[in-house]
Amino acid sequence: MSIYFNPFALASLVLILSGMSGIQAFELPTIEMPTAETATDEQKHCLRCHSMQTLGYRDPVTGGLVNLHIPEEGFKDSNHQALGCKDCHKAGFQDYPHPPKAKQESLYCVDCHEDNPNMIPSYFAEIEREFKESVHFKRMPEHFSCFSCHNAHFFKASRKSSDPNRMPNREMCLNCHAETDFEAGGLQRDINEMVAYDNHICLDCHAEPGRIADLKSGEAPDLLASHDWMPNIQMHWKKVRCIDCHLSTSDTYMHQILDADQAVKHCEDCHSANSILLTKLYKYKMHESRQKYGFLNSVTLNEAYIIGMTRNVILDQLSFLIMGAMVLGITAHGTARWVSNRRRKR
Amino acid sequence: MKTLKRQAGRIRIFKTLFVLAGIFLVGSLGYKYLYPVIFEAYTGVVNAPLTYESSQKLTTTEFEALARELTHDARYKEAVAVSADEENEFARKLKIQMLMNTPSFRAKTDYRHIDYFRHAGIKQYEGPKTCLQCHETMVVHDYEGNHKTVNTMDDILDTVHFKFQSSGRVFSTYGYDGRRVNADSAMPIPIGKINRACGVPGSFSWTGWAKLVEAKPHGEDGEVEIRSEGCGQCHIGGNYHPATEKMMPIGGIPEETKQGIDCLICHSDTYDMNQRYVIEDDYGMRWNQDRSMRAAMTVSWARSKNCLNCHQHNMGGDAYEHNVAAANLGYKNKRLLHHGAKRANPFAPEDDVHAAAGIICTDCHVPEGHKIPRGIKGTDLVSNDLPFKEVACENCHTEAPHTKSKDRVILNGHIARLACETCHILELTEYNVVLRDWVHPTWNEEEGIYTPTDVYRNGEVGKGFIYLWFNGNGTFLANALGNNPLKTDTYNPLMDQMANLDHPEVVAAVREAAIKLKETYPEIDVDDYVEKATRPLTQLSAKTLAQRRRTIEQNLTPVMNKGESKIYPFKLFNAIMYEDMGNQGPFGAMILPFDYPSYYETGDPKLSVMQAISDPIVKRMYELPFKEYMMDEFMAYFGVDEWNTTYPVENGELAANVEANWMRQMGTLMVNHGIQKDGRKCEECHQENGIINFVMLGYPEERVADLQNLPELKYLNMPVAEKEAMIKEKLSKKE
Repeated sequence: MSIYFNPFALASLVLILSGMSGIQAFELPTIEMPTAETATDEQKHCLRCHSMQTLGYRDPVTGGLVNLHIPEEGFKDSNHQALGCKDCHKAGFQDYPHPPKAKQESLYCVDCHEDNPNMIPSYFAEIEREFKESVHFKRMPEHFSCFSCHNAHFFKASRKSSDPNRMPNREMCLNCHAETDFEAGGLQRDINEMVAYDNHICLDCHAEPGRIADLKSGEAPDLLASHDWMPNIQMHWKKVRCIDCHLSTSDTYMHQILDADQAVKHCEDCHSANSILLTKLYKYKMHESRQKYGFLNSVTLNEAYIIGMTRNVILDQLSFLIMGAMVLGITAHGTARWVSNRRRKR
Repeated sequence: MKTLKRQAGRIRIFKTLFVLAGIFLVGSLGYKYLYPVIFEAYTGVVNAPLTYESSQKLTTTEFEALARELTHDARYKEAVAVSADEENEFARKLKIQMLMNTPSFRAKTDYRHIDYFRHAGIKQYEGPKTCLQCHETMVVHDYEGNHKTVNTMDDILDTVHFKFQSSGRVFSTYGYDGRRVNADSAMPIPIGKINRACGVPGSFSWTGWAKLVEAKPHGEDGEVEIRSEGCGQCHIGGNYHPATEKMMPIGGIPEETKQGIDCLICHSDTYDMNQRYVIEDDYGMRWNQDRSMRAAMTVSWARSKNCLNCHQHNMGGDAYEHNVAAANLGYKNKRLLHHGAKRANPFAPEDDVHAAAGIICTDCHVPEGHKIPRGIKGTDLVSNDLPFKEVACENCHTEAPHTKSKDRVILNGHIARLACETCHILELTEYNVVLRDWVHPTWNEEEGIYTPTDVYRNGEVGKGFIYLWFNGNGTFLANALGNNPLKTDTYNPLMDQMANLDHPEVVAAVREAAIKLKETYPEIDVDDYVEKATRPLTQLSAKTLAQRRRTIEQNLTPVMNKGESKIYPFKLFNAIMYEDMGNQGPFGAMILPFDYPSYYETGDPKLSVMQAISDPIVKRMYELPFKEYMMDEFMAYFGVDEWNTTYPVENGELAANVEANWMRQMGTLMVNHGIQKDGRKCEECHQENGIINFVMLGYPEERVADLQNLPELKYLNMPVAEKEAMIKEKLSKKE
């Protein structure tokens, strides 16, 4: 157990020594909590409170609810599951109530994830570059950070990198993941689940008119109205991710969210043999599956049937053949009956 | 030939039509005139035109004089209230005078109905007849934002306040057979306050509706005082019996009964509770009402004081010092006060933060027409007019209600597991009755009557009320259902908390009470008495106990695991009464009611039971039609296979299988009022001997250790000097 000294305590002491009322100064308490030996113990210690669903307060400025709940299940399932709380939240959180200064911490994903040999090598610099080009950051830089969309407490990467040079070393992966996570070559997640997870990130704000209006201090756009050019809106939202249309096709790191008028708006961009979806959502699934099963893979054929995208020419030809045969059969049968009828009448 | 045939056919059709019309006519006439007579003969209830002495016709002069007086009084009262903060006495006097003559102030304080009555020429108040002249229909707004126009009389006849029961799927209560009362049944039965088993009042609404009791407060040979008693004092109908007709699938409320409804007890600003006493006429006994023009001219929306005319009775209790209605017991035949309180959680400015803030009952219990919601949660069998309408703290306070405390975040964290009441009800009133003995009455010198003995009364936590998991549901005998959200299998309140009063102080107090009772009743075995009163399960045989465990596991555990449970405070209650052991199960037997006058006057509880069960409606209960109509179903919920119709009287005495027993477990009643602004402190629960028993609440050992030992508390409770020293020490270490 390390002796922890909180600079805030010093501040309090200075106040007392400078003759202020002791009680006043101690309004901001500084108790040192037992320090946990392991990350798990540390999590357990913090989750005593932070696993409470309703842990939170109402922000005196906005009146809005600030929820400090960390769903235990989600956290234990996240990519950050093995971290101790203090690995990220460094200063002052051992004290109860946490001193205001501790709460002013500024955390930034790239700080840990870039140039850190202990971290899974990733492409956070590129992500950062893209993010800064995104419509969110360009319009309202003061309102957007990684945490606006991603909750580090239950962040879960959707898939592995496609670039073999960027593949992390296996040993390191297994520090956090089970062997089975990597069956068939990537983090296995159901496409529907991935769509729901990713869309939730967008809809958490965009489906909540209140939150959008707060930011833009104006009318919130009506999602249904702005998408009404698209048939079967709900079905699309269930099966395709927002970012599949709202990102440029050349966007490798999926963070340069486009302005609405630059988004994909042509049906045939997806509903064609050369569907852009194959560069995005289905890219990896397809790749893996095709390697394993060849052209008759389950992803494009069964799991998510998309009109025009089937891409199995043999099947197309086969269906034309069957249809032709059927027309021929009916014609032949009709003709035969007509001929036989005429004969009988005579 | 053909025309003849056609004619014969026509005649036949006419004949059939004629016969059908005849049957219909006879049927409807019979239903209208014959059915009520048969019904009254069968059930023994009486209906007759209802008149009230206070309904007097005023002359124009009297009307105007009264109008001036009422207007002046109301205006003056308000002016005094508004001027209260003016410190200079003379200035205050002048301010009051000015306000009294200010037009906008007058418009705000005047009673509007005075003018309506003046224009309509109404000089006498004759009950609903008078009100309905203008209010024949009313607009009802529901919580979904819809509104509709309804007949006012029909609306009120269909409320719990009139009928005291419901046959609908309105209960949050489950039978011991695991079925939700009236919801999972092919045959819903009428249940509610009108007929549910309850040991607090000890009576039954038919046998204890309106009674006159001869009290002898001046000794055996002193002057006799006649006192009023009975369930009807809190009923808005003024007739000789509860709304018996509403229990039946057919038949309606007779017109004369409708005219007995007391509109003003809820709607008058000056209703005189001294008019509420029992009167006797040629047809029987009933409750008098205030039908004076004074009360009628001050008609207004129902305010808290109207609700509390009756409801303080089961909230603060009759003996509660701020119970206004209990201070006006009647101009004659004064009402008897019940000294032990049912819930003991008063709603009065002195003891409730909302009442103090001027919040009125209907701010939270928002009515829809005459239907008033009581919330979707409840352990008891009180009927519910709006079973899906929430009455909850969260309706106003958000899920982050703590805004000022430095601990606000962690306090808000508790909301997911604790009800607001758990921390914000610190105690119940001292009148809170926990154990009541109906079998060994005590002579009450002051009132001059025999009353049941309250063996234990206490409003403190752990003694008068305890904490239990609650998911909004209860059993047929008012036992809160719920389970630890960790779904451990160790929480079993029906075998533990509700069946054991193990606080040493409680046991000692019960022993003391038993020793005292032994002075009057030498046959009492003190040890045995204490054992049965504090551990009622000891009354059960090993076989029944095993059956009880099985029933809980099979039928109640699934219900306990439903929904989301939170920890709530529950008032505890048990009573020893006479039971019909021919109808018993592992959770209790059919309780037999007491007749008030014979109980109070003679102190002979057996005689009182005999008297009560000789009432025709109790006899009917023990007959086949009632068995088929509702009693079998009722007993199924009770955990008993079927209703045994053996009437428990043999040779003019109570049958051998009538036994005095404590109910097999304590009832647990929700308490939701008496809310304090400052809630409990962390350390009251989070310590080894805290007020919440985490082990009994089904927490695993490791979690109990966590909950009982919060390192943070050390700091919070540290004296300032010690904190200073701690920081200095830290500093020196750093150096």
